[in-house]
Amino acid sequence: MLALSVIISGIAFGLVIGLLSFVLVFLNKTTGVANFAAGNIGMFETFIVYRIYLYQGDAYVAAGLGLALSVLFGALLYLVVLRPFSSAGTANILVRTVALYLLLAAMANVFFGKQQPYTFPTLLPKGGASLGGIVIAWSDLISVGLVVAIGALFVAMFRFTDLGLQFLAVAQQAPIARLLGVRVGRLSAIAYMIAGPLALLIGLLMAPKQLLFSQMMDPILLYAFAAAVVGGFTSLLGTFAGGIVIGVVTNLVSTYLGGDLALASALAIMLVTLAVRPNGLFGTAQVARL
Amino acid sequence: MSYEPRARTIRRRPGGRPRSRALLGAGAVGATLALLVSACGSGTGDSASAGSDDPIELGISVPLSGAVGSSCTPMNKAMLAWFKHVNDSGGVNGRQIKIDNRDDGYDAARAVTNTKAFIAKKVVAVTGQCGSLQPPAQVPLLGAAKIPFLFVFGASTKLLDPLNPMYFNLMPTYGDQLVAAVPWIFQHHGTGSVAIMSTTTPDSEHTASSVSEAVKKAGGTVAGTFTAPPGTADFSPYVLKMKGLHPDYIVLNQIPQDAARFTKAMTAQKLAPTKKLLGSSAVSQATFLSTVDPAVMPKLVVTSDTLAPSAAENTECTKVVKAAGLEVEGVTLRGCGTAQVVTEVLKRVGDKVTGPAIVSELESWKNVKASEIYPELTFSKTNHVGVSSLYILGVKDGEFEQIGQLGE
Repeated sequence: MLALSVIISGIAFGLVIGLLSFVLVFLNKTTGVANFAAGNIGMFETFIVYRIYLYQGDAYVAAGLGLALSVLFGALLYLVVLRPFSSAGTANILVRTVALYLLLAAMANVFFGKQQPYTFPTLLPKGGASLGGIVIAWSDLISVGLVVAIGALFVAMFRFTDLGLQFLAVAQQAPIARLLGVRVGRLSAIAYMIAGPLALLIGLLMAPKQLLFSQMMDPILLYAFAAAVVGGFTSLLGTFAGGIVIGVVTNLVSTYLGGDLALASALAIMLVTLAVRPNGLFGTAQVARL
Repeated sequence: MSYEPRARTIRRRPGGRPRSRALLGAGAVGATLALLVSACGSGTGDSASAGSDDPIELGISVPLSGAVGSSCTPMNKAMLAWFKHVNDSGGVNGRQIKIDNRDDGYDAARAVTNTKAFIAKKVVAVTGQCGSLQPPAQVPLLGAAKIPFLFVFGASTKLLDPLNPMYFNLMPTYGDQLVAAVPWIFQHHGTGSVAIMSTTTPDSEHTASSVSEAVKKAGGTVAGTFTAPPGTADFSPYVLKMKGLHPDYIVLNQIPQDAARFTKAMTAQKLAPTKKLLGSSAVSQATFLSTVDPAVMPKLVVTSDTLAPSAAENTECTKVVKAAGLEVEGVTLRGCGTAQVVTEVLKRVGDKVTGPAIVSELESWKNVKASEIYPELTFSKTNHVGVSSLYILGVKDGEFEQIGQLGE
């Protein structure tokens, strides 16, 4: 009974990890760089939503406005931080994302941090269903539903829309896609406009449970990278599977072996995956014609 | 932030507005550097002087940002408010108190940087620290420089054993507080099984062990002990495991933010102790209470080395804290009360305020009422923890209220 409860809780936690992992892989596939700041983008946007909420008092309106603003915020970050001199190389862009991660944390401390952590209003119903002694929180169930819906939307986008096809083309062969007329820069901007609301959604799911503060995403960022590796860094849906693996295993380790080993277990899974199955559970090997 | 009693110079950086988007990057870099510089501290000023008319200079390194910034900032503001009140009333023995107030972000490395600056400035004492993480890094430096380190809000056994002659504290360690509270709570609510939830700290194992012994000694049983790293993202596994144990009491030996997340996970999983949820002064503050589900509040009992706000209504501290625009609650009263104790020491030392003189004065105290907020204080050469009695607080109408006292 305890193990089942822990596994269910781990799945819910793992899907939130998977969502952040999804953002990392989505940006990696569409822009060529996994953005280390993805979590802190969500944290910063959640602070903005909180400010809006304090100003006008309705958490749902604040979240709606926040989602709209996060589209602009994503585009702004791309245009200001990543677009200039984007030909400087992957290492250069990667370092920019690390700097952005630190800058957003520092800015959150400066603008919002004096009274943190904040109690964030819950957007999802409280309470839950009790099935045979196992409590399943409504918020967890709805979170799972949201994440599944997002996954389905993206699958549909990649399979049935021109935009999705262009994303896939850039992900697989950016130079050839460019030669075929795909505007890679424009696509990258769109990718960030999509990533902005996704990152905010993670913040909105986490903040009511964990309180809102500038380091709120740090604990799950490492888990998200581990999930991306386990799922395969090229597989979007693999990130959710990776997230579930990491969420369930770390929860079981916390329960039966002690919380201090939870992060270590996630990192161990990541290392073992890289050593035994470098492309993860769902990733595909890169094939090059010689 | 720096509060200084005399006029200070504000330096303004001349400069214009960037004219083109190309300069945005440079602007961002500049802003980043400015942030880093401001984060490293803003204290300025001359070295402390031994002259009797010169200000008495104190150093404060405190988390105004970071994981415990929300708990420590109001405490710091209340301290500064009391020192300002003292200065406005003529100072201590005719001398103004000058504070070099620096943010350490709950980061030991930044606290060390701040401490080295205090030593270079030859402050007479360092006070106002908040948190258990940074003091172990500061104590050796201040001990070697013979600068008293007064009254950290945070309590670690590592700082008391071995005892550094320069280190003084007001509150007993969180472990000692919980150990003292266990017999009281059993006496008032009956014995029972106890689950202990700790944040991993240098003290956590020792504290859990001490509390377990106290539980057994008082006739209870230990249902289980749990330890989670600071900043744990998901407390569900701990809650689920604890739920299967059906504890009568849950003891919170956690940092406030983790305790808040843990109680939220308790609420989500419908876990509540049959009898009480017991915490130390680490969680006897409004910021923690505001995160606790109203259904759990009636079960919450905490220890405190300071008066509950409702019991401190007519104190000078309450007036000063209110006048400063701060909320009268546990941490602000603690900040004000700590500043009162510091002021009392300086007053009793007299004209020649030096580190050794402060140490000598404190070690002579026996049942001294140095603050309205703290109980009587006693120190000696071998005992540098001043408070020997604790208040027990419960929650009524969403606020802490005093329901008992230990060691009266």
